[in-house]
Amino acid sequence: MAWTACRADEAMNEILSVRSLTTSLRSGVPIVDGISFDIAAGETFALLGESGCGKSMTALSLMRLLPDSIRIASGEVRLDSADILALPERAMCEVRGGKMAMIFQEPGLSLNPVMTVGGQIAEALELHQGLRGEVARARCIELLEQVGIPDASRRLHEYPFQLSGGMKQRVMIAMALAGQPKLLVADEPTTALDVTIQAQVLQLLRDTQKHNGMALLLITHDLGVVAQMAHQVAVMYAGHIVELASREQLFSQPAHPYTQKLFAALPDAARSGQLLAAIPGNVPPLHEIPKACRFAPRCDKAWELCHEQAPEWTLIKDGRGVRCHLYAAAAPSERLAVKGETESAPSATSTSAPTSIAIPHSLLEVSDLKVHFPIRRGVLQRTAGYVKAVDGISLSIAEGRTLALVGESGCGKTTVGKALLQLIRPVAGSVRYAGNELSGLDAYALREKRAGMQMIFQDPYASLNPKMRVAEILQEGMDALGVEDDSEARQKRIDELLDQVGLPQETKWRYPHEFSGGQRQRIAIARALAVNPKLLICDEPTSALDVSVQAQILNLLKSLQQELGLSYLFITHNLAVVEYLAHEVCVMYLGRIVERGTVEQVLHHAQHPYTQALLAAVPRIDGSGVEVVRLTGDLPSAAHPPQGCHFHPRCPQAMPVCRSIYPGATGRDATHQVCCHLYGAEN
Amino acid sequence: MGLPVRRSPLPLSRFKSAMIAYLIRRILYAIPILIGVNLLTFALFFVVNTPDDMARIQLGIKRVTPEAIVKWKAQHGYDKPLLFNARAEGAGKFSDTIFFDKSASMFVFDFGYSDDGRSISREIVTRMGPSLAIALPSFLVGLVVYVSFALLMTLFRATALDIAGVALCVVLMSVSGLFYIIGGQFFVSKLWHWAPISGYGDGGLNTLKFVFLPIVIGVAGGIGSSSRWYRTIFLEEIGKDYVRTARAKGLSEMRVLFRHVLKNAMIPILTGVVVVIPLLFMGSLLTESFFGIPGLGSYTIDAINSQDFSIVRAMVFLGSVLYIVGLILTDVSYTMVDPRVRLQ
Repeated sequence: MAWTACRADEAMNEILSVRSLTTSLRSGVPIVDGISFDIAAGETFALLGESGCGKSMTALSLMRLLPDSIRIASGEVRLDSADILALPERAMCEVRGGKMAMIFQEPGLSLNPVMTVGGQIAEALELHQGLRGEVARARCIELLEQVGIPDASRRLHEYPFQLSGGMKQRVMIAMALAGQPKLLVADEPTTALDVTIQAQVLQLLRDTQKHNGMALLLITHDLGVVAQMAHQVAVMYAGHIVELASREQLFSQPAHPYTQKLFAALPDAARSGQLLAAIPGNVPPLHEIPKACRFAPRCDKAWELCHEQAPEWTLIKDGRGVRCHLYAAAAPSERLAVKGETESAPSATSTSAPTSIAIPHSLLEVSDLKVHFPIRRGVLQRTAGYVKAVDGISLSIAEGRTLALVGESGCGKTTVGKALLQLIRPVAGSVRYAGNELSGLDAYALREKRAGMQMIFQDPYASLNPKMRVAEILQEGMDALGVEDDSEARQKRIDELLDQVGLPQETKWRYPHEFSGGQRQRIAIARALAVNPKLLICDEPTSALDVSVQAQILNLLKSLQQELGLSYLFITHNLAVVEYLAHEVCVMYLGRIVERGTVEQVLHHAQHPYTQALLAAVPRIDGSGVEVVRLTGDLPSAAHPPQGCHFHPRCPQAMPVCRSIYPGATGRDATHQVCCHLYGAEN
Repeated sequence: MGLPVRRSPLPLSRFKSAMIAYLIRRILYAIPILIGVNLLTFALFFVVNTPDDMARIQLGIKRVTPEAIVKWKAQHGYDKPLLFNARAEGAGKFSDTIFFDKSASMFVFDFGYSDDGRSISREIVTRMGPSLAIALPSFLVGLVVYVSFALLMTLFRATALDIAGVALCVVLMSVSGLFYIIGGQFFVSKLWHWAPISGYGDGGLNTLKFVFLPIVIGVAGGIGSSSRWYRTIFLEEIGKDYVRTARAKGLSEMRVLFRHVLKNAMIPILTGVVVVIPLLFMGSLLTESFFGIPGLGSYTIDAINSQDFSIVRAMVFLGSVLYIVGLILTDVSYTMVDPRVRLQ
């Protein structure tokens, strides 16, 4: 096979070698289809792709931990020259956690909730190192310290629920390291974590690898993570590896049209005036995988051959390979000529530069909004304190503009969204929508006054009623608010809405489960639009979606804004999305806004150390992550915020004054404000 | 796990005081519930079914004359007004009523006298022993058997053994409980003479042979529903991410099952199990009557047969009290198996 030649030079020190691995459902439908790759000692090999491409199943195949309904059909896996697939189950138990360990996506779910952290690590130590009692205890502490958990001897006896998400993932890593593995399989290890915590965990993985020379198989959908971590990258699509290259090769010149599209679909500032190059459609479901090239139906470079015949694995120079007809000898030369270029996306009717226009009429005015949740204690459940989830937030959104509210999970940004709609009643402050005060209104008055505000939620799988048809979902809001009383006009409006969000009209009689994640989010948007709102509160609307689908939704939101003159409050943790979509940005930390300004001001001339840290933590695909500020530690609890400036315990530039006094807002500019003592003195 | 534990004392003491505060609050909550239960039983037994009706039933249809009814009511203390005595003086307006005599006294567990003139409270105390002698072993042995059977099916999930086990459970569930009792008595006692057909013995060692059959039948009767339910719980736990982590650590399937799955599955299992522990004192209506066990179950059945409402009312109230105790115990048991649960 041509494969062996491509990596012959590195065959000497490879730890893992996979050949034609095929994993399929019991019915015979392949999920992972004949993939081959090698990983050398000390190397990080990234498996990149969207959800449903078979990345996780590849990892579970290597570990032989597949669910009951899926089995390995054929192929060969050699770990340190041992034939993994031929081992009896007993010997495989020694390999798992010993030579080959694995960490998972959801650290919150991956640890046994009723067992102490120390107990779970000790279990692995006992199994693979034969350590017990005091020796095991000492080694546990050592491991926890190695993964950067402070106060390790106390943490040993804590349960997973007492740790933050980042800490849990560190414990998972400690557990994986307990057996001193030669290969660590990390399945989306940072996807569930905040950017600042993600940066910490990725750094830890790099350090550990440097320290003990293990190989790392990193499964991710995030090009930024790949750029920071990988030596070799394999791009997976619908069960195939479609491209394999070194990181430098892949990032300088992606070969496969799918890889090129992935890059083009990434939102960032450079594209903020244009629509993103979204990949039309979705990853095909397992039972509908095309017979010929699997990407052909979504590929704009496909020609007849692509729809008739599956492309072979083709080697192109420097040991990189690709599965695409463009690179086969028979490819028409004029098609090959365009390869590698990131095509320019169709430019949208221009969005004006944020600062230059006159401030338009303000639609939503929020001042000093506070949401406190009581903590109750004792026999009589007296209020013992408050979780100050939102503690004095002021913001305003103008007509047709987008305000992004950015912060880590737990900072209170979702609570702000709900409090604006009065879904959670704020304890203080005012919310004025189109000149009307909303806080304090009774339910009846509220219904009418807030009709112009609608919300789009994070998880389109959970936020649509599974027992209602699309038409019913769209109609419900119109019923409630008395939009389009006539039933014929209403049906017409439903068709119109579906057109607007890019869904065929006949889909209105279907149920939500028949749609993909991206399509469901379109339904959610249509539902919000049904009552002719002026302001949409979008709570992380794309964070549950794949990159290519995220681009579709972002494009849709952007064009809707231009057509209908909508305003958006965009709640997100994803700074790249902010750059693409927003006009103004507010950065939130522990219930308060620490910096606000235009996108240009906040993202390119960040003043607050927290904003700078957030920006530095985002993995950039050009590998130029500015390593100025790296945050340590986690977000503190909102029930006991630190004295003085909330950020000072994590702040690299903290001064004595920060420990005692919360800084007031300092204007850097007409539109740019920072709450930080670093800038207070200058005024 | 085999790690030497060094706990700091502070969180533990705080945890204890939070727990005590919680218990006090739950007991306070129980008071209005018990008042409600008491009022409801009072309404059922004295308003829906008036003292006149009781007298008629007790005296038999033929001999009923208005005088006989008045006399019966006076004998049994039912001749007073229900809730408010306008003719009495002072506090007597409330205390000289049927409600005060018959229902309010139940709060201090004074159940009064049955129609044949015996103290109900004393009967309850003496009859609890035999009830427990059957119910407690059935409960404990049953729990072990059901969990083991469910674990076995889980270990061999999706194999012929599992399918056969589930099929057996469905068959066992579909058969009436009476069948186990009658069938058991027929085969075990009548045909094979392994155990006496009914009776209780003198309460000493010879009682063992009498309680054997009811216990076995009690356990067998519950296998179907309980094991199938526990199996579902185990299978749900086994699909969770932490189980995959345990396997990725290299643990064998047995260790995964016993060390990780079992403890997590105990949380939902406890919900259904702990709540019935106090109710064990009440015994079982069917088993006790069929086996002639002088427990509270047969006491209740006999009272229903002889229309002795004082006893039935007492048992209904006692059942409610024990159920509330069971609910509190359930909450406390959560804190023992689930470190995430802190009662506040």
